[in-house]
Amino acid sequence: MSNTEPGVTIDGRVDVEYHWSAGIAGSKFFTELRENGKIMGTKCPECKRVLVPPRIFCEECFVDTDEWVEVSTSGEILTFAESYFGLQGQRLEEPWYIGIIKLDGADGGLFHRIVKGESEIAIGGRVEAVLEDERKGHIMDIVNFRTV
Amino acid sequence: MSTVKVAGIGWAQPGDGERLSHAELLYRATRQALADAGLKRDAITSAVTTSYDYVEGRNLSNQFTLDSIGGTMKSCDLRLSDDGIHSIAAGSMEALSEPGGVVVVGAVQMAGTELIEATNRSVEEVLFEPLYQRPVLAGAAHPEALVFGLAARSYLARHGVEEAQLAELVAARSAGGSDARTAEEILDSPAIGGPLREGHRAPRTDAAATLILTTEAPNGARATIRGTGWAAEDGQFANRDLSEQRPTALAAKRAFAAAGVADPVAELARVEAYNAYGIDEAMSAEALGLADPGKGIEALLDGAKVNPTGGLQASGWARGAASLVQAVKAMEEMKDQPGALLASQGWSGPGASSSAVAVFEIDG
Amino acid sequence: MSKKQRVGVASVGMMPFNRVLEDTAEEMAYKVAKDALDKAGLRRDDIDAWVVGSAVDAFAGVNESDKFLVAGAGGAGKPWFRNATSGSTAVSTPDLAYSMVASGQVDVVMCICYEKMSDNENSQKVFNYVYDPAWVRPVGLNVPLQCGIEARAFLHRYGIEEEEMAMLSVQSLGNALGNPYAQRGKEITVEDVLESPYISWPVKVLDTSPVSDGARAAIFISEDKLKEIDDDPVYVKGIGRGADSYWFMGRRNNDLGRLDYAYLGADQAYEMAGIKNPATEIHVAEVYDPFTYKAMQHMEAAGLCPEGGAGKFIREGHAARDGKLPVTPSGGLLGEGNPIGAGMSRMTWTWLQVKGQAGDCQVDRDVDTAISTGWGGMYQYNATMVIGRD
Repeated sequence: MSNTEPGVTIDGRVDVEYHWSAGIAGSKFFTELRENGKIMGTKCPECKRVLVPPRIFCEECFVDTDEWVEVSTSGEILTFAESYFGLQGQRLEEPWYIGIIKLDGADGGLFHRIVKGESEIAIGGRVEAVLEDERKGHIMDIVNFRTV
Repeated sequence: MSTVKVAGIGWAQPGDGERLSHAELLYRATRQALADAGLKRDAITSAVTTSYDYVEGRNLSNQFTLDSIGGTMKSCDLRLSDDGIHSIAAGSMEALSEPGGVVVVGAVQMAGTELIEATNRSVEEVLFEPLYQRPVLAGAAHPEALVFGLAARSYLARHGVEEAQLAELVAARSAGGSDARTAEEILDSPAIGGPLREGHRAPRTDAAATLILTTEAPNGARATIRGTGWAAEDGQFANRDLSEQRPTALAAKRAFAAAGVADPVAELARVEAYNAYGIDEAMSAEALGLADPGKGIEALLDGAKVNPTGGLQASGWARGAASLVQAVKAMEEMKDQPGALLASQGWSGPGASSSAVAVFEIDG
Repeated sequence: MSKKQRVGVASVGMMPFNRVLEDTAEEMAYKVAKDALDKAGLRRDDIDAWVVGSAVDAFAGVNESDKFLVAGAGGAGKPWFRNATSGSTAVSTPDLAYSMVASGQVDVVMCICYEKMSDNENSQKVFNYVYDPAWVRPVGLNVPLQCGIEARAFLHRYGIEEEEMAMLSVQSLGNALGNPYAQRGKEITVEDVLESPYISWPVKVLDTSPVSDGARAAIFISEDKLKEIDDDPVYVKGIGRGADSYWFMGRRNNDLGRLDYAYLGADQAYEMAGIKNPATEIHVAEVYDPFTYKAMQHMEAAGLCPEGGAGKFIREGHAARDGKLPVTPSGGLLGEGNPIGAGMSRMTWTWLQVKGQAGDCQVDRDVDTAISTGWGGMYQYNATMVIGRD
């Protein structure tokens, strides 16, 4: 039978740093978001899906997708979840929400924060992106999606 | 009785100044391989990828590249933490088993640009286990080089080989590559794991490669897999003889037996052997039966069959994908040599405790 | 080159799971490898190749942590693969062991899956690097929220109820009382579950499997060799895998409530096994159950009950140990513990059930055919194995 506590432990930590490439598609997406406050997708020439997040290839047809289209900053909540914990693990009084938003004009959408605006947060609810005034080319240039 | 064919190959590197994502790079290699095989994504029935979470900085790194290998809504759920040749062995068994079919074997590594150089030592440290090895290596700027240095010293001393000879080998290999070095430059460079110096280590790069394996190749094939072998030893150094590459010897024995290769020197037309530190190639040459013990460097300098384009020392080292990339490039270069045998070897594990060998026969 | 052959399972190797075990991963591997060899009456030299699975190196804090298990697992100097595909490792590794023997290139494979999660200070920090650095991590995600968005979609789509999730938890923790290798065998009530704190609606603490250390082993073997040592051979009847796009927010099936890729994996396994009606042809199901709702999604994907009908199936008692199609009679990950790779326990328990060696967990009905599943990634992977006697 094993002991359920180790007799001796050796401590250590691993500190590695990276700067990951957002990619050709990601670079264009984040640049458009920063410069023009637009959300862009790529369109597959075969199945005609508009991919958000954009990719340089359609994963189903497996062909290059180089047509860029603007999609709406509005959409519908596909699903969401609430948390009463902050990112440092501290308990919060009020929950915060994340979810998946399908954007109008796109066959995909974004994983992002959701806040209650005019209506309750619910599956199928309509939301609108809230953008930062000063943007950096980052997914958090979108502050959140607010219910309308 | 079936054999496994390499129906198509592809490889890709970022263009000059191009910053694409690793998933995009692997897509390019896979798209090329499918086109080369004359197959569409719908033919895919399985896949084996290789990747190292820590080197990439992505946990469950396999999930990020599922789409790139054409695996979306497909029966693709295998990832080996190795460098690539192991996945050729596993991929062929997949192709031969039921349900069998068309197996994508792919790997990509962009740590060349994505991993911040100053923290590379942390990645190297993580290659070693934390109870007996890592604390000893703490404070070393190049933990892995130190371990290969142990192996190098052990080898040089055992066989009475001079450091200068190893430098000559690496210099010869690096010529024509992105970081060509002379033997003098190598011997003048600082020791990072003496007797290994900075100049012995292959430069890092980014690359991706994909092979399509199948038992039927109606559109023709690049090669037939004649044999594979792979083996691992204990990860604890005290239980290994670092002066020889026993995992490679064991892997080669299996691969050559399956391929019916009795005399590797005579029968192999080309060998691609991992040469990240120079000493690894020297020991592998002996383990592959291409040279007598202690004569590895000599045989490599005299001959022209092993790493004829310099291996990783010239192409650069994309750890986690390098052996697949070298295999694909070699097959491409050998396309006018039907019947020729290519042996590809790659290692993984702490101080190369695991190795794999594949023997391919180029198709006509 | 080699000839395809049928594949059987000679034995399984077991050890108790726990939140923290003193054992190193190598020590755990030794225990289960030895157990499997002893039970099969085989020796290390009878094994042709090893395939080892562990989901995440970062839990161990060691790159290629498997390389430090080689000696303890009996694999020194032997052919050695390590598979790591997220939670689906639990069954994708046995699926690979199957393929190796089925190909005819090897005859006997030792399959070991393990995970040491206790070495790591905070498993959430490890999961943080599972999330895409550009599209997911900056928004903020953690394991509870991952479950919340998926479980909410599942309940919304099919009208599954929290009470039904709770019933499965009560059943599983109760089943684990009969499981000598389980970490969390316990008698609880539906109220206990419903009153336990939410990790993210609708998933509660008692809907969630515990973090663990542990390992499992199984010996996969050619039919000819199995018949030499076993007069009641159990075979791998079918394997299946399914995987969907990494871009979960933008994929064709954007409803996380339905695991299309799990249906794919199950369908492939059933086709190979010649199973047309799993609801009657499968006798025991050890589905992957890191959370109650996840087990229910797998029950449906595996065709054990009608799509959307898992709640009703549980409510009506069919999934119980004395029901018509017992689900996780071992207690599952919920009751046994969840050392991620070693979720292979689902597969090992199917063998014990088919062989009639499941002890106090043995189900009441006759068992000839059983299924196990694994799952993982960003709502991505499924691996399935169906075993049984002829």
